[in-house]
Amino acid sequence: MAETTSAATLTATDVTMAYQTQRGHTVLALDRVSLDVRRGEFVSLIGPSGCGKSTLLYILGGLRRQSSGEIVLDGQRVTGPTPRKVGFVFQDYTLFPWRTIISNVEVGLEFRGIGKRERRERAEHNLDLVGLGAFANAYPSELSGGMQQRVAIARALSMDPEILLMDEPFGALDEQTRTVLGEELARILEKTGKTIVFVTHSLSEAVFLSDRVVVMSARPGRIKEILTVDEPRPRQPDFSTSRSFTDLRNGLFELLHEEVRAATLAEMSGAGGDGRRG
Amino acid sequence: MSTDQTAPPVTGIAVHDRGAGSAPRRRPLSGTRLGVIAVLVVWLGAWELTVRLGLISSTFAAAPSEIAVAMVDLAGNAGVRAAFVGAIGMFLVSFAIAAVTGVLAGVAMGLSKIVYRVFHPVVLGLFSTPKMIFIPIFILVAGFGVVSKISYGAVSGFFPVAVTVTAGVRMVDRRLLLAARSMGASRLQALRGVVVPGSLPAVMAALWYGMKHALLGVLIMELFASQEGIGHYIGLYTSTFRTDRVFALVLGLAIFAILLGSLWRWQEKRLSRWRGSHG
Repeated sequence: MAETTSAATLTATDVTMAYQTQRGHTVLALDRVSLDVRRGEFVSLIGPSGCGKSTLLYILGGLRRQSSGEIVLDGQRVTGPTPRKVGFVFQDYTLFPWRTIISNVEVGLEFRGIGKRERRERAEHNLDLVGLGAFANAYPSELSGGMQQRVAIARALSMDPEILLMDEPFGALDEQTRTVLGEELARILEKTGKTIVFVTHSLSEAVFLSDRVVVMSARPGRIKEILTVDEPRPRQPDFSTSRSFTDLRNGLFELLHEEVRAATLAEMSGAGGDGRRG
Repeated sequence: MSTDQTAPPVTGIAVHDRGAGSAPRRRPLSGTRLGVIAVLVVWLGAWELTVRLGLISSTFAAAPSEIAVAMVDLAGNAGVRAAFVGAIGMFLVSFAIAAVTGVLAGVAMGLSKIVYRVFHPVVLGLFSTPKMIFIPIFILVAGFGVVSKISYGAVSGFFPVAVTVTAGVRMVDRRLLLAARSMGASRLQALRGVVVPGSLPAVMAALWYGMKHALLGVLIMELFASQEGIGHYIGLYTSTFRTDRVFALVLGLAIFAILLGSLWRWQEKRLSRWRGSHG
């Protein structure tokens, strides 16, 4: 917990999200969720599928509008995307297939209206940072999933936001790639000093990367508990085999298990289970 | 779209180069190409032979050699030349109209849910209706002249363009739009940066359908209602049993259509280089 003592940068207060299904049911996805994210902190959101953790992430970044409640970023209410302060990394990479890798990393700066020379310099710097400088002129379809996600991270970093919101960034990758990318991410983040909110399904990933792990309950999504991981960053690979890691992971498993069980049973009985991801 | 790429992707190039030594200046004929030529030669030879031997009356099917002579003949005929130029001109105008209106309508239906709900069923219904049944109405309203041919060609081309562009715009990946929005893209930037390149393959396909249907429309109208133009000549030569000339005219139109198609495919390939695997 190096720099987590400063005041909160991103605050959610009583955020509630309800939406109508096609059949006219009202589903409560998030129920009065309050959360403080402090500068420099790495916070993971974890919970059973459909608990609204991705929805919460999108609301935090202004990509979706909550039904009620408030998001405040650096003292200002969030009502839409704020690309200067908040960057996104999505689960399915979302690179533009018709652009080369370097041009994909530049695209956000292009939207911002930054000149070509500066754009290219910043893109090259960030592409080197994720170790893909050699692939500048390739197209996304020529890269593996893990490489594409590193490009997406470079794209978000090149816009130099204070906060990075990551929606299961390694969710589509295999376990080995996932572990290596997690270590990579820890290394990169240490250099850039960003504040991170990270949605994940993986207990190990959450414990390995986070300062705090927010455990959410099955729908309607509420914050069930917040675990603190008291281990200095950057985390070293051998942390994942240490006693404290195992204890934390087991504790997290206990907390999640009942929730996942409840969510699965609810889905099987069809109550409110309309197949939507949260 | 980015125009500043320095090197084309490596995967898009399929070279069948088995030859050793220095690179040949001309590409050697591939097996498929040789096959096509062989089939053509055999087919034309058989045709020529059956006509020459009198197996088929030359009143109904002129021999290829006769058709070739007729083509040269007709190329020297100012009336026929004018008819060709006229037909191509009418086709170009009707295709231009179909392309512009069809793309605009398709983009509007693709982007706006309300426009889609109101107009798409109508457009789709008319698209599936054979346009031929409206020909008498076109003639009634616009007569036998240029206007009825151009408008019928344009209407024929409009529907496939509008329907295909609508589908293309609607299929643009929403996740890419969300990503663009998260990076602060304005509506215009999202349109130019995501919707346009994302639907470009569909738009190219749409324009190709539109081109085919506009050409078909103009030519059908030519045959139906023509006091001049290619339709007139085809009718004239058919009724006077000059099948060599009829075939010559039809072949001329076919060559035009084939050239148009090749030009289009070349252009399409150039524009979608990023799709890599399409060789």
